[in-house]
Amino acid sequence: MFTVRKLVLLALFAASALALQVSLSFLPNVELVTLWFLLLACVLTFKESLVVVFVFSTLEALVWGFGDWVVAYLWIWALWVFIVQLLKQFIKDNSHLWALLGAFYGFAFGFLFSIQHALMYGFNMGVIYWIRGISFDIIHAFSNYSLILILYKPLSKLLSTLLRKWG
Amino acid sequence: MKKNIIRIALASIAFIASLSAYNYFMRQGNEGSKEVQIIIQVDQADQDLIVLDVTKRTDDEMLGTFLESVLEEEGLDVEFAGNVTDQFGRYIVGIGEHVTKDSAVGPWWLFNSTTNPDCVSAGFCPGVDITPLYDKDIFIFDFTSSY
Repeated sequence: MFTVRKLVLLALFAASALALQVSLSFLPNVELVTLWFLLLACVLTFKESLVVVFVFSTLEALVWGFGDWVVAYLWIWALWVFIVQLLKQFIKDNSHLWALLGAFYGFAFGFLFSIQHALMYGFNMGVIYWIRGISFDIIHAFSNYSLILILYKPLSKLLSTLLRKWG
Repeated sequence: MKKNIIRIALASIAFIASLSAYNYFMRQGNEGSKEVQIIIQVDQADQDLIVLDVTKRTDDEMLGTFLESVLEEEGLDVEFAGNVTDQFGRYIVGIGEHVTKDSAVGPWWLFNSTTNPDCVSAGFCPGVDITPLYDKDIFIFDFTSSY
């Protein structure tokens, strides 16, 4: 069980993720959610990170409408925080390695989506979805790399300081 | 900070290169819905001389327009007789240096296909301007004195 303080924090984190997503939604595949979940997964437990992911995905569905992409969001973002949780003890504060990982995940985002498409609508649909979206995956990879490289260190420092203050 | 600027500059180069490569391959893959092979050969006593053997993607409806564009791309002159609007369209008089000088004795440009459904069902290809193209079609144009 979470304390009320923790629940409020997690809710705020999820709301922040939504605000970050919506604020940059006019730019195709340029987003700060990957960076935000990376920062959170570095300071929170896996369970807490998952709560943020699930609340964020539900909020996204409320804003943009329910569709098969909501299901994809649930597991793809969960997979991202899982990977971060798994690697944070090795990568630590190396922003370049996080940026590379973020770039790789950004590039793989369309492929992961296409796995779900293939399962739901057939193999060919999955392949077509993936190939048609590769240009967006390239943009996603580049934007993730640049944003994480520049923003990871200062934001990580700030978040750690604030969390210590909030208990 | 300087290191990060260099890294982002390198990433930008990789970004532009990968987007360009993707667009190049996608454009190549989408150029035309049909893949058609054209073989142009000249009958010779010992072995046929292959003048051209190309496979290209196209959206052209008829063989005539496709053949014209392929030969133009390959730098080969083509000479037709008649008009596209004629009952059987145009017929080929010459490709490159191989031109029918006397239509009564030949050699002539004939063509055939064992893949085009219309040619197969008719038992012959009727004329370049009234032969529709299908995906995976192969056409052999032969400069020959025998038919």
